[in-house]
Amino acid sequence: MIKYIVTRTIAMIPTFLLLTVFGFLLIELPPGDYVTSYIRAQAAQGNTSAADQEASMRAQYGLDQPIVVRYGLWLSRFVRGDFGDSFEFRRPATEIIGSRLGVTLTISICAFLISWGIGIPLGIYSATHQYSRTDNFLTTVTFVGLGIPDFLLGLLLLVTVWMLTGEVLTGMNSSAYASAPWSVGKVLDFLKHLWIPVTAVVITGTAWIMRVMRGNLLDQLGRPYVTALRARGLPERVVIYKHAVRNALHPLVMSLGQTLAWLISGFTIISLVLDLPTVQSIYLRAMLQQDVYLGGTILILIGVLILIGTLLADILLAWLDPRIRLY
Amino acid sequence: MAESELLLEVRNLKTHFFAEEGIVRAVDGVDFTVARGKTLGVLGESGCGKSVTGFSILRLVQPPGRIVAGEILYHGLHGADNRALDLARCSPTSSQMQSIRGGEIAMIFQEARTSLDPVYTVGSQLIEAIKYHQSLRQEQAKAWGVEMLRRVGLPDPEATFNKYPHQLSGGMCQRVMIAIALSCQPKLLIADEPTTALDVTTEAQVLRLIKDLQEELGMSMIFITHNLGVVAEMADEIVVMYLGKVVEQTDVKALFEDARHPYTQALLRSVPQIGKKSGERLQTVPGSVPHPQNIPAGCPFHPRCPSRMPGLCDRKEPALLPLSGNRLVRCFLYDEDALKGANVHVANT
Repeated sequence: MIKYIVTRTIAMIPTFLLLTVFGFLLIELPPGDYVTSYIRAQAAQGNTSAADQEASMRAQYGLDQPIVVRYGLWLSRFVRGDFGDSFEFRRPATEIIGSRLGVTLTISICAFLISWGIGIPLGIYSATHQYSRTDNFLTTVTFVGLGIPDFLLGLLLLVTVWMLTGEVLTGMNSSAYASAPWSVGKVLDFLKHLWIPVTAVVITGTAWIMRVMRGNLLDQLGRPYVTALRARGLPERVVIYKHAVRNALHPLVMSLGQTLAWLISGFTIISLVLDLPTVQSIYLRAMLQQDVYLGGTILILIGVLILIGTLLADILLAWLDPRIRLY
Repeated sequence: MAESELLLEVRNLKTHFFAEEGIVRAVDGVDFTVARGKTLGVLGESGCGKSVTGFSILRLVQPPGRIVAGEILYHGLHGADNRALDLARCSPTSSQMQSIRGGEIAMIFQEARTSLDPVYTVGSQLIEAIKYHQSLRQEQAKAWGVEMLRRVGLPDPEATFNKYPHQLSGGMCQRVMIAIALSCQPKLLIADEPTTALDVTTEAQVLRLIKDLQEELGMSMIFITHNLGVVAEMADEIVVMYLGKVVEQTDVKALFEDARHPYTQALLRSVPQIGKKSGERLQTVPGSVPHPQNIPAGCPFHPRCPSRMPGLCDRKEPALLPLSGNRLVRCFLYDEDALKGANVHVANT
């Protein structure tokens, strides 16, 4: 088992390097660079003198070097923990990401815990009571949940609250508290905003987890070993929870690998629609503005989280299922 | 047969599946008895309802299937009034049924490897079964489990105890299944084609093992198979099933020497025999088993029967008739009243 974990971890290093290459290439792919879009923006405001600074700005940011050199410079700083400055905000990329990480993780971890906490038990209930009234009801609800995108649900909640109370709960804090230090009032205000994105994400997330759990468990309950366990006189709860559910958890554990990255990259559209100060919204903005270091850092961060998530999922799977342990 | 020798009586058992496309009468009137210490062979083609009969006895039939009629009288429990327990009336989820499963009546299956949970060691699955039926402590249960693995002839039982099913061969998995099934010393073992998935050498070893253990423990057995050779070796009595019904019941010697039902006769002719002229084509039962939702009227076997009597066999359904020598046959050929009434001329069979 320890050998398996060590081999699996070492195998991550080349994957990580490949990830940085592709990440860097993706950033470089669109024509032009940050200076091009900066000058265009300045020109649009009537400032034509910016065009003269073009060459000096490129030299200042190192954008006049060949691509391989730029990649090398970027990577060498990257591994030392210097992720570069955002062109747009003229602040270190880490600082910008860090300032938004708290809100992002609060929403995503709440949504994750609630949707898994509700989805798995409901899926088990649905599978063990197949075609019962409750199962049919839950199936209908989950299809609706899967069919409606989370940003639309968020918007519906927002509009409903506005019609009932006249408050527009976009963002994470009312303007009164936006720049105020944390206090009980601000926390309550934060919670008042938090439930809208969390509810929207939970509804679609729960629906998905429930469907997966129900399908897997039904598949397992039809297997010969379940009949054999029943034939041994084991109580139904042991057959289901100790045996069938453990076997049915595989695909969900696999998807945990993606979930870690989802924590900072999921629900992007709802972040934009509700104007949430999350990593996702700044990521999209950095990509549109060709803010290379900020966008690249988030991209690599997502990639690294996928790598770590997959590693954790693999270790968890190996613990769950002896057939996966490669000695 | 004296009452005290009986262990299990199945009377007019009907298990139907209520599928959306219609009702499938998988088991449709099965009668047989199992004597203490003896083996009843249940013989039939695929889809004749022999496995469902086994599952019905243990009340393991899952919806949309259920027992719609009949009695399954189990005489193995020594109640105060010495009365038999009708398993068909027990709730499948009752604690009484759970203690009977595995404790009184155990079952082994065709695919041994898929009948073991892949994520637990064989030892933990063995202990789990033992601890539910006997009040043993962990160490005692473990010692007993290792002892069972040794008795089913597994090499190095202590090492096998800690192995996972995927680390064992098919034959070893079946030995593990037998160890689990017999660990609580059941009075009846239902063996549902336990050697079908094994190669011939392993099959012979496993059959030998089952027979030896049966003698050692003095238990009864219902041996379900489609293999005439296997049933000849294992069984004392045989019931032949066709489309959910028993068509013939007799002792094993009489079946092979003097089968009465045309279906049994056709089955026996389809066995390849050593010493027959080479180049001769192997005989088969003509036609194929009808679709379970499209069972022919009258005697269900009549479209494939070489001795069918038009006007009788396609109209009425024959009853199970007692013949001399403790045997039962479901065929009009032996029903003199029906023959007279229908006034048909019988070809000399």
